[in-house]
Amino acid sequence: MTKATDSNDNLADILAQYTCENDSLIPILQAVQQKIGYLPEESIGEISSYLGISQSEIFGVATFYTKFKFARSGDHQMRVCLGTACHVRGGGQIMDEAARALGIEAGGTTPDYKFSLERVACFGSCALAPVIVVDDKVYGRMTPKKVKTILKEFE
Amino acid sequence: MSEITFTIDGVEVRTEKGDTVLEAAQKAGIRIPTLCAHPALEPYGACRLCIVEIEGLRGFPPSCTTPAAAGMVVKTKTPQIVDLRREVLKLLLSGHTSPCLVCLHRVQCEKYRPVSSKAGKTTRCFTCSNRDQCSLRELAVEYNIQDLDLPIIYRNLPLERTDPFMDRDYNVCVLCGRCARICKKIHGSAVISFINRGKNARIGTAFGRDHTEADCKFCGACIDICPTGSLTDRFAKWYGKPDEAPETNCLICPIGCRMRVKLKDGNHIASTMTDFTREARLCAIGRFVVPQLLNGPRRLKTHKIRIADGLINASRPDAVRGAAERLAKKAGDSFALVTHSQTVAEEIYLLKKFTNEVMKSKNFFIAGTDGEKVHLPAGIKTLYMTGDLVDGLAGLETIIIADMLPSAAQQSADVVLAAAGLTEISGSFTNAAGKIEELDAVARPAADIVPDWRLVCEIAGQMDAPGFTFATTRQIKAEMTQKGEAFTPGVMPDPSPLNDTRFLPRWYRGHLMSDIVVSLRALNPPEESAVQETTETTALSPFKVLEKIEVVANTHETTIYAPAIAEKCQPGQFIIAMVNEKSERIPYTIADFDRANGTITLVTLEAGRSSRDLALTARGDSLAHVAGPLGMPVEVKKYGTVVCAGGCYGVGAILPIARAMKEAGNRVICIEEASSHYLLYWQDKLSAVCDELLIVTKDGSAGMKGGIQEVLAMLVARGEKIDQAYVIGCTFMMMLVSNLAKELSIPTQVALNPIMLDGTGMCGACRVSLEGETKFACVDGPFFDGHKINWEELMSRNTSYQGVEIEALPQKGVKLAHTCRCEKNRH
Repeated sequence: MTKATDSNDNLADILAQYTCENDSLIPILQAVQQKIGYLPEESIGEISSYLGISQSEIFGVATFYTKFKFARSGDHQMRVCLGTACHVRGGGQIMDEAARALGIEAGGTTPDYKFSLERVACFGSCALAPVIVVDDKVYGRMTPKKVKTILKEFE
Repeated sequence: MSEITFTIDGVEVRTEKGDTVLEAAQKAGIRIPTLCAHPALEPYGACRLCIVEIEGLRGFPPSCTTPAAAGMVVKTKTPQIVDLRREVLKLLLSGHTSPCLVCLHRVQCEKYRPVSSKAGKTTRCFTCSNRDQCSLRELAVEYNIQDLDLPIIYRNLPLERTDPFMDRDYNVCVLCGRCARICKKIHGSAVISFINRGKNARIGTAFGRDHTEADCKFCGACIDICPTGSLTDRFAKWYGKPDEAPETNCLICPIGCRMRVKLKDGNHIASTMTDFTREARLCAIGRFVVPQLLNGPRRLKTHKIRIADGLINASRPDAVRGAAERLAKKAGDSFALVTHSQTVAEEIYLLKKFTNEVMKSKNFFIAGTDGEKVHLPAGIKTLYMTGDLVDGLAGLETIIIADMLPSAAQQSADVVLAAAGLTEISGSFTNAAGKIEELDAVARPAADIVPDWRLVCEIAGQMDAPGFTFATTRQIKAEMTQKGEAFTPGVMPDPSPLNDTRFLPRWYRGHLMSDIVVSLRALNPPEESAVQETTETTALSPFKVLEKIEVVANTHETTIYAPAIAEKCQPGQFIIAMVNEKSERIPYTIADFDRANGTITLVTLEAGRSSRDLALTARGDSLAHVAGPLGMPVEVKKYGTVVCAGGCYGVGAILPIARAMKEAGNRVICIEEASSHYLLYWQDKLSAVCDELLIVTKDGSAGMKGGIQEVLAMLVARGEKIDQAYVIGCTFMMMLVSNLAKELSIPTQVALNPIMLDGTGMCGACRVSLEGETKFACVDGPFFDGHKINWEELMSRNTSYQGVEIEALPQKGVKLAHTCRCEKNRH
């Protein structure tokens, strides 16, 4: 993932890669989020003019998926699984520890924009429960102590 | 198209291939209940009320999205389907504000309170402006829903009323999606859409923007297609269900859109599209502004005539005679008549004929629709104009104005005639496309008010001029046709106001419409910005609002710095507050007081214009004035067992009484009544000052099911001896409780809330009858013996000004100047 950039970035280069159809909406949203890190208000306006879909409708689609964000998030996404298996094996304590270590609640971002913390419902890695995923790397059989070790990797 | 045959409920039906099962059933006259379906919209399948059973198909498919097929065997009314539908309906109602639907006192309520009570947020049917046009309510009755056994969820979303013309309360929304779908159908791209998901799903705009910022055209289709009271027309909402809906054309601009005129007692309260299509759409002026020009509070309703230095009200015959007298001997080119084009051809013809033939003048002018005033040629001494159409009235000797709206020019007029116009007049209108429309007068103006052409006929009659004995516009048209008068079309506005609110018409009869209908300024910003002044008040100025919260929906708790009142007030007393210098003075019971900090606390409902003013105050504002403490305190002594019962705002008001009774050594039982659990508040405060707190809700979602009277009956049944009861709440509730208390011989004091002006016993507006004896609630009350009150008289007195209240409401609360959205956008 690239670093968060100024929200005034021109999206022309992204939009040019997609056809002007309703079907392009989600791929465009993904590409914009990939590039900027979130969906700035101005980008919704640009996508709206390009596709001819109203901003409200685009906002409706984007708010349906938890993956899309409207505020700048951290450089690293820490996702703590609280699905059934992880929950049973103490995912809650892992979440508490992560929140304490980062000093933010689930859904929040650290003031230095280094980390965002999120809870997810299942990664499909139940055999490794409880699980934390940072960006694309999976950390299995977590214990509260291991949370600090993971954070050190990113210092 | 080929036809197919299949059976519904054992009846063979024929329908066109491609029809859905629902469409086929409707064509065959078989009723299947629906909510999200609408003839103007594509099938959607959101509400699941139209489920049916189809042989060979698994489950219960919705008939609206299931195509009919030859040989199908459909059942719509099996006991299982009816049961399922009832459950679907309960699911919908569990997220809607439905306590009134299952209330034990519903029949009495509808008898004594036939119209909905005005409120900000809709917390139940009784405070819902859509009560008598609600599909959900009709279905609940049809399916005999007596109990809501699912959890009742109130989302407590903020009321959205910063946009012009509409109020949006998504707490009542059932997510049928009709509004978003019709918006997309008519405008191609939807201003509103489903946002978020799961339990947070709602209708909204991108980033929570106002509709003015989201490119809304304010065609009003969303309001007109909403099956619930979520989306409402701020002006029309409290008039109740329209009783007629004839059609006519809009006369404001040359497009001349056809519109359906919603009439209530002959008053044009709303115009809607004749069809939910793009072609039939209306602009904000036709949809919302025309009704407010005709029936807003600024409409001219009386004729006026100048006597010595001032204008006085006059009857139409007197005003017409006055005009005729002033026009006599003024014939010649020193007379000018100025009219406007936003009317029918017959009227323009007749005014011209009057100018030429009666006044023998060639000075006849038609002002443009762009607001530019006519400059009179030199030598004009006498003017007749049908609006605010002329610049420079100085030097004129005689001015006669016929108009619908007030203007500064009327101050210097000799005669002001109140005229009819727009949907109140009949005649011919040639639209920009050249088509001549024959219009019928559909709205009925107030008595004594007639169209301009009739006023001129009457004046000419008084002047003994021949040729003005017309009874109808048809007769005028016949004369016009005979003389070969041309019906010239107006010029099509370009760009069209239908596509862009920036190009909405701005003027009517020379009046800037946004001066009359103030909320229009949000769309047509005036040249000089109307920035509202905010004055920062000093640290502890008198009547400063120290705390203001919406304690539960539509119920506001306001703590005011008023040390003199706090020092002297006793339980049961009230104050009279003026929110600003132009507000009404409204009495409110003191819900709590703090002598040490010099504060009093009010708990108020938003129920009309003045209470809305109070509801819209914020911490740091100051009220213009608070007078009090007023009224007689309750008699605090040891009775034995005292019941203190409150409903709605009365819950707040019983607190100081309960506390005083407890301190006096009584056993205190508090009863808190609310329609549903989401309207309960202050349980902790009440618990602290009583021996027992009993909760009762109309829908049974918390505590007992029922009202205070059911609790009283229960207390008596369990052997409780009640020595004294205090009941505070709405008049209807106090009546029901008093009637039962009388039967049970429980001494009962109720706090009455009649219309009150001065609060000191001078005006007599608050008089109440107790067994034939007249008392004033302000000085003898507010507490009276509930057994003795003439309730019917009290209720009828309280509704005396309902009409005026409706007119006074609409403009309040609209955001006219820029407000920063920075906070709102932060996620």
